Amino acid sequence: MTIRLIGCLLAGFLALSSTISAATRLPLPVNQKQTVTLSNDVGPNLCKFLSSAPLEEFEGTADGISGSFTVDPSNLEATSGRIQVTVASMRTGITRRDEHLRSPDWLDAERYPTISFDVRELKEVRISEQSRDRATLTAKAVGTFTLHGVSKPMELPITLTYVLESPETRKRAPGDFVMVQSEFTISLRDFNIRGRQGIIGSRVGETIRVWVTLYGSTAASPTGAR
Amino acid sequence: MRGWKLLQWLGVLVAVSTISLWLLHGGHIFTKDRQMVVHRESDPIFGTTRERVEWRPDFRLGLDVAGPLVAAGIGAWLLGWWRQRRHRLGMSHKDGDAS
Repeated sequence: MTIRLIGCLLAGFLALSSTISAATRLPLPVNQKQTVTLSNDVGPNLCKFLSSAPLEEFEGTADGISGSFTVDPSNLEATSGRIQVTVASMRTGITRRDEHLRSPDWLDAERYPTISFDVRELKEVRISEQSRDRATLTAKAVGTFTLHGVSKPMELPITLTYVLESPETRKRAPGDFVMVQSEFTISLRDFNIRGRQGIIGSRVGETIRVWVTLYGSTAASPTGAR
Repeated sequence: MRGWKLLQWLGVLVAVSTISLWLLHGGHIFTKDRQMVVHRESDPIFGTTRERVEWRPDFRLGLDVAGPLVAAGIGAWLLGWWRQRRHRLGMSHKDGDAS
């Protein structure tokens, strides 16, 4: 009786642990680990942001995006890499405000020229769509977000679409294609961005909404993205 | 005296035209010099719509510039009105002294 109980418990524990640590496979015929390099040949890499404050709501963009990440088709959770955006490429529609944005009061582009996200792993990976040559998954990208010289652990929700190389994709660029989309919010205070006194909360939102769309290829050169 | 009258009219003209232009430009609080133009096109490879953003030069007068201009216009009108009033009062005093 006791042995049967222990056996049941052990089996249950093993089943539970295998569910927790199960590696998600990419449902496409890709065998090796792939390094995806961002490339504007595949699609326009773009970061949009929105600041909402009582005095003004403004949208901005940044297109100086580069980086790469590796995708292990047999273990999507093991995806890792680094994406970075240059502060100098940020635009908000007012040249003077762009200059202020880069100044030491705000993002201090001279000391901290890039904003980066180092992806350590993916979690909660779910395959949401799949066909013969394309698969889409949703996940949380776990990593370190660095802005204004301050690094914080963050989990960003992502949607990743993997497309196998085909005559159609080769018209744009060689290799398999990957598109990653993410939408998240960052708090300026968390990254020690204080601005000029009284501006955050009146002219600039305390939190900034960010939308990112990344395009890459497994055969792109790193110079592909701006 | 004609100079002050002219200043008054000029003030009104500046204030009214600035307010009109500000409203015509969308009534923004801060002056903008670029406009974000989003080009959307369907992407059959990923099955989504992809966006390309372009910043085009586009001047939009904001209250930060329009406000001081309107204030200056109103100020000019008030100055002209005050000078004319003073002149009129001075004239009537002179008339009173004469009578």
